[in-house]
Amino acid sequence: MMNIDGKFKKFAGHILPLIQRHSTCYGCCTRIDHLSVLFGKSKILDDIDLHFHCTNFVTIIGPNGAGKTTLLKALLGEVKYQGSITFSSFDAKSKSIPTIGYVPQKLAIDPTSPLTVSDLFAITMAPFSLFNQQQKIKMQESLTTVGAAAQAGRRLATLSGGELQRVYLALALTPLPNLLLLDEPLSAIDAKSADDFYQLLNRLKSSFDLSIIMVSHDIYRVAKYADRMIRLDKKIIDDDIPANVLKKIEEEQRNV
Amino acid sequence: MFEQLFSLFTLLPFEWAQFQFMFLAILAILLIAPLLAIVGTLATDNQMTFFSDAVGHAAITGLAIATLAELETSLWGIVLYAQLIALVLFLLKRFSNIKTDALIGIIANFSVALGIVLLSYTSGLNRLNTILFGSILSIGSEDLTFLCISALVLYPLIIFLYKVFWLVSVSPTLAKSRGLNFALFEYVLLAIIALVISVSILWIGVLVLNAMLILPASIAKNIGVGIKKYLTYSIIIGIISSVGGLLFSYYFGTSTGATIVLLQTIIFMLTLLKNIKIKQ
Repeated sequence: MMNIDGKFKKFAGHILPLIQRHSTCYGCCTRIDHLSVLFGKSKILDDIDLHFHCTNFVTIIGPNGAGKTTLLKALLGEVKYQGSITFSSFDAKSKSIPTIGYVPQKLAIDPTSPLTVSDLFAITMAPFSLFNQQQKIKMQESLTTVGAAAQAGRRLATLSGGELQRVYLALALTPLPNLLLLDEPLSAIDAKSADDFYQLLNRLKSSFDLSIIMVSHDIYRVAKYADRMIRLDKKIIDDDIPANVLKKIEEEQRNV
Repeated sequence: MFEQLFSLFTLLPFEWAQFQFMFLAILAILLIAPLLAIVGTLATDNQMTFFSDAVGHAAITGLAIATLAELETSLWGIVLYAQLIALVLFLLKRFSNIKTDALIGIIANFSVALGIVLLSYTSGLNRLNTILFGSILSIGSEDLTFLCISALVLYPLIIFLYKVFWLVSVSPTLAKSRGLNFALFEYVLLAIIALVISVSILWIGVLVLNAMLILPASIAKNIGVGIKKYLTYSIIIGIISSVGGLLFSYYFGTSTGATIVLLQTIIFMLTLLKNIKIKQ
């Protein structure tokens, strides 16, 4: 533990001064106003208002087709939407484009793909240029942060589900994001690895003042770690601390 | 320029080195083989080998259109029709719900049918032979100049965009989170594959060209880990097997494209043994 925390501080030491210059809360707040997403004629998301702060771990739950992934995609700018999404710093009120880290559910890695972990970093960090020494050092730092330092030379297709998620997380942390989005990253992972992963996320959250938004199916486990739980089904059904949301869900189930 | 190089070439102590057609063919192979090998590494990992096959077949239509329009060289017809196909496929893939392989199948078969109808209408079916089997031994110095210019454009472009193509193929969303327009790069990759196929098809032939795209990459995949090795091995194997195949075809009087593919398949099977051993 001490060792990892020490590395966090070293890593944070490089990056925090840069962020502090722009903001007093070391990050950004994200404001979603009247967001709607249409797919064909059906509404996937209907008039969503949300506000995310930094150093906050928010989980989004809801049934299949509730628009959870679509909400993340809207934040990434990958789907067209009505309404507005603004990213701003607390002090300056300046609207800016934040760095967004994204951890996918799974990537379409062919089992025969020659792609290694360091290849994945190379194509993401330096798509148009040579993968230089400085970037390689950053990659090693990020992999060390998530406890995957030994995987750099391995083929992605040979990693286990838990190892792969740590690699994706390390990738999302390079460069250190203001907003970290995770799309059901733990759906193929055993309970022990999932708990480890959540603990890691919480450590990252407080070390780097991250704003974390995670879509999850495993509501009882995520409730132990998240600060806030949003129940989504095209609209926002609940938005509260996890314990209250769970209580409400249990009551509803009893009534049924 | 080719003349001076040829006089150097004739100094080689081989019988085939005395013929200008062999000299031009080897130069053409040295330009085409690495290009196909590089694009092959992108196509096999993007599930685009079916598309490259379709573009190859569409060359028949390109040839027919060129014949109909009485173009001086059929190459322009082939290049333009291939680009049209890349564009149509990209748009249909983006704006329709039809599965990609079905789309490609429809486009490829439509193109072949259209090509055959047009060729038979202009009584040009005999031209099919050249495009089906390829005729690298008949390449002229003007064709070679065109090939050199294409290579000068294509090599730097592909190398510059190589890692982006990988990123886009691994995850569009990941690319998007890094601020890259994945749709644009997906289209550019389709257009590049179409261009590479159309500038080499007349010399290698519709029937075997796709194999020259897939095999070096597949061989490299059997023996290399990591993108860098994958790419390097694919290029080296592409060059060696293609020059080797050309020389075999000279000595045995066989069709060049097909001979190259046979040689590559043998190498593939040998490396497959290694692959199977590692798995056990």
